[in-house]
Amino acid sequence: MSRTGKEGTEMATSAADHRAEQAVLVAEGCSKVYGSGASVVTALTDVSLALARGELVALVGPSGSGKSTLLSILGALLTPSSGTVRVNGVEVTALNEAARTRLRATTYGLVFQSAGLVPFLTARENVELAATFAGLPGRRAAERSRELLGELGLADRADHRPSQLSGGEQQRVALARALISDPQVLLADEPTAHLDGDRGAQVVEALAAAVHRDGRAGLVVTHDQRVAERADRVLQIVDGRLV
Amino acid sequence: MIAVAARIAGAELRRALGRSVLSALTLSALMFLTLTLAGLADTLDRGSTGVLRTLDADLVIFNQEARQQLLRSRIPRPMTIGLPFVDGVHSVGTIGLVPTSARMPAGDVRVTLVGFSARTPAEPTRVVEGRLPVDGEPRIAALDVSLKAQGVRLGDTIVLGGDREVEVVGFVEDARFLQQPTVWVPPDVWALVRARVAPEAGYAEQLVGAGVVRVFPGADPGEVAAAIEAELDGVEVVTLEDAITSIPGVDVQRGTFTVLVAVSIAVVSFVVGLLSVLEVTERRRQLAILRAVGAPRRVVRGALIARSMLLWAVALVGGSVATWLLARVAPDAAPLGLRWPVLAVVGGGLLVATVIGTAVALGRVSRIDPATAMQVGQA
Repeated sequence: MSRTGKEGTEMATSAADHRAEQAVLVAEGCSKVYGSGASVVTALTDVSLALARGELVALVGPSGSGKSTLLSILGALLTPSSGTVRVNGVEVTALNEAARTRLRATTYGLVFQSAGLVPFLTARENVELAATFAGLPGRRAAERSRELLGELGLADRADHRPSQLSGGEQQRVALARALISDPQVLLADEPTAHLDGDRGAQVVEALAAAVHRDGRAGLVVTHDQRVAERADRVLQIVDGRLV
Repeated sequence: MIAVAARIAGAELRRALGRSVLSALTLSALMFLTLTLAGLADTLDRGSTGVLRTLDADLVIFNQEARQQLLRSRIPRPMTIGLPFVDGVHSVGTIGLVPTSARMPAGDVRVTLVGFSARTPAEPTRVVEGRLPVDGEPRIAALDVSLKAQGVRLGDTIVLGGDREVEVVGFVEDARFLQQPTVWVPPDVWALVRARVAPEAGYAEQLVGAGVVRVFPGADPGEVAAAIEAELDGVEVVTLEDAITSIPGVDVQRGTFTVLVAVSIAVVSFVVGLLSVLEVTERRRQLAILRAVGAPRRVVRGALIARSMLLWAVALVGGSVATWLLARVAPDAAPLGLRWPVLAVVGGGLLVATVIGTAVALGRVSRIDPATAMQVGQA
C-alpha cells in the first residue's frame, strides 16, 4: 500500500506522473460552493486527483469534510462550482444532464451507503434493470447478471427480493448492479457502513476484486479500516481540501 | 424505455400487493361512485327523452302557446300538408302525446300514448320486435319493450284509456317519455283516447300535437326552421335537440348530474395526485439512487405514469363491475344502467383525471436530484 505525503517526494512525483498517464478519471481544481451571499458554504476547495486503471483509492475524512460532495462531482452527479472532471478525456462537467445520466449508466459503477434496491424487484431484476439503462440487450443482460451474482456468491439468492436478503447480500447485489455495464470507474460511498464484520469484509473483497482484477479505476469513501488496508492509496480530505 | 417503465410498474402492482390493492380499492370505490352517477344520469335522461330521440327528424313544430311542451302542443294536421314544398324540407310527420293508462295482463299501468303518422319522420326508429301500426289500423299498437315486464306479448290485447282495445303488433325500445313507457298508435286512435282522458279538449280528428320535419342532407336546420315559421302562423319551430332539452326537468337533470359526475372525476384526480405524491415522497431515496445509477428521467416518470394507468384500468374494471351489480339489484324507482358509450366517455374522463393527478407527482420526480443518493443513509 502506498500513501501520499511529504516523504519520498521524488518517488511520489514519479508515481503521480505514472498515474496521470494511466488515468481514467482526472479531476482538476474542483471546488464546490453552496448558497450565496452571507450564507455561502464552501464544501470543496481546489481538489485535483487522478484515478488510474486497476487502482483502488480510499478517501477518508471526518464527517462534513466534503467526501460525499467530491464523490458526487467525480460521479457526474453534481457539477462543481469551478474545475473540471474528465473521464477518458471527456469533460464530464461540460455535459448536459441527459448525457451525464447516460455516462453514469455506461461508464460509472456507483455503490451507495444504502443499497437502494427496488424493493419489488428480485436481485436479478434489479441488476438487469441497470443493464437496460446501459443499453445492454436483454439476453446479454440476463447472462451477465447471472455471472455477476454468481461471482459475488449470490447465485442462489438471485430470485429473492431485497427484503429477503441480508444487508451484506443487498450491498453485493448493489455492487453487481454497479458492475453490470462493465464500468471503467467504480465509485462507492461507505459501502460497508451498515454491515457487520464478515458481511463488510465480503463487500470489501468484492470491491477490491472488481477494481484490481478487471482493471477499473476505483474510489471508495470510507471510515472502515479494512477498506483503507485493501486500497492502493489513501487520500485524506479535511475541510474540503485533500491533505 | 417505455417497456422498461411498464415492466417496473407491472412488477410493483403484482408484488407490492398490499399497497396496490389498497390504492386500487380506493380508486375503484371512487370510480364506482362516478359510474353510478353517470349511469343514473344516462338512464334518467334516456327515460325522459326517448320519445324524441327515437325519431329520425331534425325539427319539431309546436304551436306558440305550448312553449315547446309536447303534452300541451296542438296544431291542425292540415297545417303540415304544404310543408314539403318549403325549401330544405325532406319529409314531414305528426306526433301527439297524452298520458293515460293501459290495462295489461299484470294490471293497469300508467303510460304515455303517442299518436304518430306512419312512414314519416314521426316513426320510432328502434323497433325490436314485430312491426309498427300504420294509418288506418284503428285497433293496433306498438309498445315500449319495458312493458313486457307487465306480461304483455305480441298478439295480446290491451285496453287504453279505459275502453279502447288494441292488439299489440310490435315493441320499440328506448322510446320512453318522462320515465313512462310509451304506446304508439295511429293519430286517430290517439285523438279518440285523448278525447276520453281529457274530455275538456273534445274530439278533434284534424288536431295533432306537433309536427316533425326531416331536412334534406346539407340543408341548414336553422334556416329551414325560419322558413317554416315564415310559412305558418302561430308556430314555433325548434331543432330536435332543443325540443329534447325542453322536456320538463331534462336540462336541470343534465346540469345537476354533469356537476356531480365532474366533481367525482375531480376527486379521482385529486386522490390519484395524492397517492402519486405520497409514492414519490416515500420512494424519494430509492428514486434518487435509480437516477444516480443511470435511470433516465423518462423511465422514472414513465414508471409512475404506467403505474397510474394500470391502477386506472384495474379500478375502472372494479368500479364497472360494482356498478353493473348495483344496477342488477337497484329498485325500479332508481333506474340505473351502465351502457358501453357511457362507460367509454366516463372511463375516458377518469383516464384524463388520472393523467392530471399523476402529472402533479411527475414534477416532483423531475426535481429528484440524483446527487441526493450520496446523502442516503448518512448520519
